[in-house]
Amino acid sequence: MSDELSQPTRRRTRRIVVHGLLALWVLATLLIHCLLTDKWFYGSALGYRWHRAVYVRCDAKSAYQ
Amino acid sequence: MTVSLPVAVLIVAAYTLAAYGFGSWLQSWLFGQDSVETPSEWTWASSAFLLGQAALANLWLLISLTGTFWGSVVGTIVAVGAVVAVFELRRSFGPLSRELRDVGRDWLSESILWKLVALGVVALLFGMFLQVAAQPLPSGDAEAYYMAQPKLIAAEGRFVPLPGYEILAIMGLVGEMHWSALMTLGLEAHVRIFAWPTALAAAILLAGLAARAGLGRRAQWLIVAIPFTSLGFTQYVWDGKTDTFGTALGIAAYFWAFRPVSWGSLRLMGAFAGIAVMAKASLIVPLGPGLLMALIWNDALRESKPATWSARLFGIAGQCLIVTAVALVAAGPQMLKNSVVFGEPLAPFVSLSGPNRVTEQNWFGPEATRYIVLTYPFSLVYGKYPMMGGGVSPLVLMFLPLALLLPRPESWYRSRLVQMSLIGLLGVVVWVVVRPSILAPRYIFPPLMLLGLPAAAAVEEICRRPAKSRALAALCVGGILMVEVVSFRYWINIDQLLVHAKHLYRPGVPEPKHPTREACEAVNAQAPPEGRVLMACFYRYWLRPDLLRLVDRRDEVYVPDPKRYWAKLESAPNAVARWNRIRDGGFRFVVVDGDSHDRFYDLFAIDRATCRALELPSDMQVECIYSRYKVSAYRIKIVAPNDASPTPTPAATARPVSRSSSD
Repeated sequence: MSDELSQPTRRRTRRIVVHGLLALWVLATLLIHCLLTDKWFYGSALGYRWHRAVYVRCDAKSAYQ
Repeated sequence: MTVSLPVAVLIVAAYTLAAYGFGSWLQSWLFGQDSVETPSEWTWASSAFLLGQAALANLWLLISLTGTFWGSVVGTIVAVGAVVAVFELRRSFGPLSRELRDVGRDWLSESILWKLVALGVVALLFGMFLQVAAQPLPSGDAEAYYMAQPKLIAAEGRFVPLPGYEILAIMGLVGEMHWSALMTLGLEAHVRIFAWPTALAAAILLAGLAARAGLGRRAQWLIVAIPFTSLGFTQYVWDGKTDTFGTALGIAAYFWAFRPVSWGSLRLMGAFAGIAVMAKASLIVPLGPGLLMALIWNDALRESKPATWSARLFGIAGQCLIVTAVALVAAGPQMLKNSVVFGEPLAPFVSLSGPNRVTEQNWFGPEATRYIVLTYPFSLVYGKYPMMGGGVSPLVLMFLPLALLLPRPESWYRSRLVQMSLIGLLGVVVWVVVRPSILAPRYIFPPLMLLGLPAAAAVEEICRRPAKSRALAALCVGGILMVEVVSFRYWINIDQLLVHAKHLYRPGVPEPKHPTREACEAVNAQAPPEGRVLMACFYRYWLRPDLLRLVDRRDEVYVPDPKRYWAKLESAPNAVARWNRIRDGGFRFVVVDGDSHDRFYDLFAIDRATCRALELPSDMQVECIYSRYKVSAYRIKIVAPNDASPTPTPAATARPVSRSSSD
């Protein structure tokens, strides 16, 4: 009997966890995009420093240099 | 003759109509009568337009090979095409407006948030038109090659490889031929406006793919938003580079690959694949295996299956043959150009004369490559790597994991959405395996867009049943709106638009110019007809056409080491010998861009602060005719040794050195 009662609860809990994780993912990716792209952030001094910190400098080999 | 913006828009509209007119006729012919199902009217029209412009690009190339690529010829053909289009539109106008009314009706019945999402997409589409129309300057690679090569072809009336960029002229010319054709009609930088209807057609075909996958109107709005929020797509619509054409043609190839199997759809798939690969050579990597997989999958999905495996294999092989044959016909004019001009019919994929520098590229070292591959897909979306040229829309990354919430399809292998997603994934994976070091979404945009389909489907599904996930649905819609706003703010440069708008309507306001353009214009003003200019600078679009034809060739500066710029000039013992070499090459002007070619100043002993040449042959004077920021331009004067002035002008010579002692 207790198993039957807990089944919907377990399903609900699982749904909340999955949806919560997905919502976090959506929020995090959106936030990173805004920070990397929008002028409000990258135009500021803090944004510039952060930008430089995350910018990966590569040993680029241009075809012409 | 240079035309104003309103006239340029009219000419591009006529050109677009011509492409649609020829394309409608060609598409109906290729599709044939035996086909079981035609797509919606807008996707049919978009596909026809893309096919027509592919055919026009090939036609322009063939005409340019005959040396008759003149404005009168182009204008006549465009006029005929536009008339054909008007007749075609009389037939299709009713169905087109009916479908548009359906879209409008669906929009009216939407919630307020989804109405805003759709309005955001429309704002992005038309904002892009404003950006491309009001921004008169090409930039970056377009200034270097993608608009300079068309300028030369248009001025010469025949195909002439742009000196210094012969290695790029061997690639297929599709977008470049449109630029060139429009230039013969009097347009200059405004030729780029033609990229906008091309991008629009690609977006409509993406919506058609979504509809084919069984997705609804919301998912269709979202899939259209994805390319227009991808910097790897948007910035090539307005900057003058031609990646948009390859992307649109690649999406068209996928579109026909996922239609019900018929001889007509196979022929159209082949035609689009062939010309897409010519427009963007890198697309051969995802399109080859992707289209093969689509053919096999489509065969498996057929209701009336042949009895034996061998019969089915023969059937698939026959379909492959048809697709390949039509693709080769579509690519034929480009192969003919390479055969006639370069002796390389299979270029850029196979080089008959040695190592293939076009396809054997390697952008990064092993460590950076490993980092890039390990951080896929984040590197595709957020990466800011050299030469990457913008990423994919964050909407794909945001919503792709939400596909976990999609209901299980009745049959996995019968699901069109699964088929499209897996073929998109295959294209990306094959690219990463084959070219791990080349991180450039614009190289593989069509398969990346297929990966947007499950993301769009997931958002539509979540928003369809808000009772189950109200918060997540609200977050998704809010996220889409936010990305639309950020993208709009990022690539619509309002300040720049205002400056150009002022110039457009008030000619007294000076047009904004950058130093490279000013340096080229200084040379244009002084150089005699057909003078030679040494370009220590990538950007040569602003030179006069007669000067453009005679700028330095690769064999004059690169050899003996083809990978080292200035290798040939470096091999001379000192600055005086180098000046002698360029004088002997007939060069009388030099443009130097210190940002990219700073070494030139050392090699030629030029003082960066004063722009004075410190070591010169005794019979040469070098006058600086332009200097701003790190860019400078010089005029070389040959004088009798006795005439060399002992008191140089502020921008002239110093320490003349005898020529015979140096080289």
